[in-house]
Amino acid sequence: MTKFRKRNLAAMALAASLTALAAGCGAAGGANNTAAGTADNTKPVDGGTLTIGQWQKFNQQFIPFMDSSLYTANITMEAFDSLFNIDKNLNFVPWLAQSYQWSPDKKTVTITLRSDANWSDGQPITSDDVLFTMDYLASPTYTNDLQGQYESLVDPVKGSDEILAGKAKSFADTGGFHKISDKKFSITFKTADAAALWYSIATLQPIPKHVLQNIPMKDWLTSDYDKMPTVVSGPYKFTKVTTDSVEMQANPNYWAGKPHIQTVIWKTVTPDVAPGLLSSGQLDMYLNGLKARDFQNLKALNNVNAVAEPEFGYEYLGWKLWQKELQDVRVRQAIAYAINRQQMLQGIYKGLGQILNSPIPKGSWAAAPDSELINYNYDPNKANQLLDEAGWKKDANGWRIDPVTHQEAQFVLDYPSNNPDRASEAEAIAQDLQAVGLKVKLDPPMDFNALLKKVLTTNDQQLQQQMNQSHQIYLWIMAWGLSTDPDPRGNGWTYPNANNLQDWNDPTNEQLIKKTYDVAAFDQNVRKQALIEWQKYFNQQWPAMILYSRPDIVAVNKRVHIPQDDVLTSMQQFGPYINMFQWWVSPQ
Amino acid sequence: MGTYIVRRLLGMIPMLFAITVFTFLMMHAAPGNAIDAMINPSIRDIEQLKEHLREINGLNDPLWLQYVHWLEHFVVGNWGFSFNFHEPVIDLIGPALANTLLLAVVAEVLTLLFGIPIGLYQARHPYSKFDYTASTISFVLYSVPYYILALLLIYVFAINLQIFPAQGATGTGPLAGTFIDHLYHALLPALSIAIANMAVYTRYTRGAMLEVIRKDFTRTAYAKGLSEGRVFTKHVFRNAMIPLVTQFGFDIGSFAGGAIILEGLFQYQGMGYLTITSVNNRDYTVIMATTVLFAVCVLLGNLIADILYAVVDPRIRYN
Amino acid sequence: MAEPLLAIQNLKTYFISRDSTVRAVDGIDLEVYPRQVVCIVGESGCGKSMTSLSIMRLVPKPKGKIVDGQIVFQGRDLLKLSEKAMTDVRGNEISMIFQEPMTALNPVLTIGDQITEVLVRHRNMNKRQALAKAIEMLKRVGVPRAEQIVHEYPHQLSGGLRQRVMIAMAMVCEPKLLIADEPTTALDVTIQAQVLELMRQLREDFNTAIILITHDLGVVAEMADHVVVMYAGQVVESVNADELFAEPLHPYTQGLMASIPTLDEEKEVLYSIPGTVPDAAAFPEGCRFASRCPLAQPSCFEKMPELREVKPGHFVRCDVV
Repeated sequence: MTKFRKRNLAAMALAASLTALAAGCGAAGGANNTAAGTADNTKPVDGGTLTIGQWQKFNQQFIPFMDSSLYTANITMEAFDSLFNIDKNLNFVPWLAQSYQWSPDKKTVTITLRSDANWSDGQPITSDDVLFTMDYLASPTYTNDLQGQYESLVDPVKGSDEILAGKAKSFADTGGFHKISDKKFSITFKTADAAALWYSIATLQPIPKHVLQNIPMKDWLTSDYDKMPTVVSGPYKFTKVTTDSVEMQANPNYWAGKPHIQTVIWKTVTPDVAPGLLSSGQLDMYLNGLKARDFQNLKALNNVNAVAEPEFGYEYLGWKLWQKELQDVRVRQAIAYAINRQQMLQGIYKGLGQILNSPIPKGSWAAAPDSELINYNYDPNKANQLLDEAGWKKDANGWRIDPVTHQEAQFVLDYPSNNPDRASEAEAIAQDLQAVGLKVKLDPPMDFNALLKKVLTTNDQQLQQQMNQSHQIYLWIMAWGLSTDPDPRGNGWTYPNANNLQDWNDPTNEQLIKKTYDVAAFDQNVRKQALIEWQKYFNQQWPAMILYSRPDIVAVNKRVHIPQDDVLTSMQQFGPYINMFQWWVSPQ
Repeated sequence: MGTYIVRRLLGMIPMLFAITVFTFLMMHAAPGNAIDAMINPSIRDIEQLKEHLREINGLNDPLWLQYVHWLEHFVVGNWGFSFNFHEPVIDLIGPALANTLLLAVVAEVLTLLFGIPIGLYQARHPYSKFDYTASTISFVLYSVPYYILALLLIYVFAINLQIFPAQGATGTGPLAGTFIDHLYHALLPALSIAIANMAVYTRYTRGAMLEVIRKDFTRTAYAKGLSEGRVFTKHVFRNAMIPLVTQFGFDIGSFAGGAIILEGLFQYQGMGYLTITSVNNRDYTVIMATTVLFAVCVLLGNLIADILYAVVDPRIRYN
Repeated sequence: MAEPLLAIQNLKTYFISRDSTVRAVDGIDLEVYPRQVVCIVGESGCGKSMTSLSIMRLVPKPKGKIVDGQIVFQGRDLLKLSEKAMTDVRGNEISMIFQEPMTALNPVLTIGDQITEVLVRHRNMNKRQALAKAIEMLKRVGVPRAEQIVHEYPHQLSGGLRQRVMIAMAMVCEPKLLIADEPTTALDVTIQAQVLELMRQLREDFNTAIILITHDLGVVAEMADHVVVMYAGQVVESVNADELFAEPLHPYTQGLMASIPTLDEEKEVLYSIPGTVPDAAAFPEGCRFASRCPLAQPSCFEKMPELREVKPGHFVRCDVV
């Protein structure tokens, strides 16, 4: 699932990591630099090179949204600014969009672009560029010929369906977009939805109309511009692209000021050798994929800062809520108490990562405080008690009797084969459940697609019946990466929804979710409260066993100075490296 | 000889056909594809999108029709579009194949350049100190999993000594992307492959040489008054080459496959890396193309081995 | 008689390994005069092939070793020559042909290539001259289509032809001495006769002395001037051919004679010498044939008999006769 999680998800976790990293850097950097001279410590130096490693190869598709790889997006991010940025609590803040204003009916938002924002060739970034980008994402060519996956970014805008169906060409004709001036426009949504702006247009990275309008869109894929965009809006310009590295140079015309670091090099590096290259200084930074078992070693390096922060996502144990046995909330809660998540984190992730009791990770502004939630700490006694109450009696062998079938309860646990950690997790879960008398059969690891297919096909009525008749209670382990915006719909908690793998169909839940995006929720405080209420309900109902956020480890050479305030106040949408234009490196 | 080659080439056609059918069925039977695996939470109507993609990619057609379409396109070089990389498959295969071929050639050259002479020297002085030492070392190197060896080489040559680049098929700087740059990046992974393969070649060479040395015709050669060097180079080595040629053919056959783990470890953008990435992502258009290529390479490898076999062994040529 | 062409004295060729010493050739004496055909006769393993390889200094390395003796060829002790000087002798002054024409030719080289390299090596000829000479030689040994055959490979030829090629290869430098190790054993009877005839012819033409190693007394009768009978690494009888067949003295030789199938006697069972050859790694102290000898006396088991001249020119290693 990691592959298809929205690209900004992992970035979020890394953003959080960097916050801590910057803090660490401040302290360690200070001590470190006394030898080199304290006078320069606070004064950024221009120039130098930053070499960043990623463990998967980027795809040579650098027009924003052409490609769905996180590793491509990380790079594209430095060349293309988005309309909104995010702060350390994952709130959206204006960026290329200087300000925005909602209409009284909350269907239309008027956005003013920064007057000083220009393309690297000196042309201003205009409303026309935004419209051009929206029309690109909405077009049938984008979805069908280019097989793009980000039509959703314009989907809530009025007229998106007509454009996709080929009945209209542009949001300007459907009433979805209205140009007020070169730097001002309004966007009208299909409905008044408090989340719509954030899960759609806010993350839009405009592309230069004056460059691309002369190339037929279906040919963009093979265009020189896509292989190496020459006109950009972000702090760095592409200067060289090879099959496995990208070299970028500072954009002197960047609206927020010329970046300090002159050259940024992206390399593809496997996590197996990344620690070595970090310690030798051949890599300044490594993103995504460092292993928990390497964390202490990285920390011990005296030229590297390493930080492990929980990812913006979670691992969970899923089940089908139409299975009669699991319709009793006490059983679901019993499972929660029975599983020792702390020990799993300890054993598998060296104690890094974070236990969650709600599906919104703590890094988000919308996360419910612990005090509002039931804390499912490991408590086998409580689990036993809940199972007893639910009528799951133990038989002579100590196994619990399924009250539906009046036979030994039989759980079956599936997990994907793409990561050896999944197997450890499955074993730990099976052991913990057996300890409270729930018999668990571990299936052999399954190919992720096969597992997904199995989980999805159980929506079929006949299959449900079959599974109920086989008296097997079906469990599976998967992981979700999350979108920046905490909208529960995006993650499949509504019904029906293709991503609602649990088949959770609960009117109370639907009601609570509706409140998170209705007209009242345009008030951020109201929305936050609604999200907390929903999390409380989720936490109590426990429709799936949220396990924890796994750790994301980032390592940066100490010669890289990441201003603390910068990270704290102005994180960019996708980039794990936030506002890299404000970073600087000590001369070597 | 010419007709022999032509006959063998023609004989490959039904094999190729069988391979395409087999590959196609295998891919069809594999669990899911890139479309099924899409669960991007930001795509709201994902089922509709999936259905649409299935439709335009012909996945709703009957199986035989899908095969015919695929084969038609494949033959004319339209190898489809990668869901994962969002690029035409042929554009992905091109550079990957070039990188892998370079790696394979460098590795093979290193292997032969060191493996055969070491084996020859061992055979010429069997049971000597050098022989025992070389045998032990090559046995050890052969037993060590080659990714461990590769990691070791990376740490020694790329991280500590910083002589070679640790990762990638190309570097940065003014030379980036040039042939020299490619060659420079291919050396360390090639060395990892070569060290493991070298052991095979030294053992084969030594074994084959010693076997031939015991042959009557070797004694005849000595009895004719030829010097030892002449006997070895002309009489013994020519015959000892026959089993080596078979091994060489195997090597050629496995060229296109690349060394999957090794390419991953070096982040070397070759066929192995492309394949493993595609397998992980169910990128079946790419997998099908690479699978067919691998099969073609194995066939070509066998053909080349057979031709070389005939070149070195007149008994085969004239039968 | 004139000076011997080759005089072997007390030749000992042993196979030495960590835990045993195999005395393959254990002190033999042998003389070959110009144009003479000397047959070395004996069962397999008696040391006759090792004797011939010792003359060529081609005893299998690293275990085989000539530990003692002299091999004087035209006044030079071959055992004292450098390896380089020895290569000048091989194929040039002394040539050798082997038992198996099937395997004694290199399968991947053309016939022409294999013959010409001898000439290139010893006669300093260029390829073209050498090829002409090779063709001439092939014709001389009765190879038909010699011009084509030089471009062919051994597997394309019959066994008899291959042996003729071997002979051509051995004779092309007109050596003084030809050592033929069971040259006809692998051939069928008619071809055998042709090859023997050819060898006789070549001796006439080139004045070449021949050491013919064989276990076939029929071949001996046909070819030999002088016969040396070997048993367990030693010479047990040495005499001219006529006398040997008229009056074999050593009990072993008598046994060999008795085991020849003859047409006039209708024996039910072919005679064979009872017992087995003693282990060459642990020879008994006394006569090595004693355990199989019908005439053996107690003293035979104690003392090794000397090779003594019982009649003029007739040497026997037996104290009983």
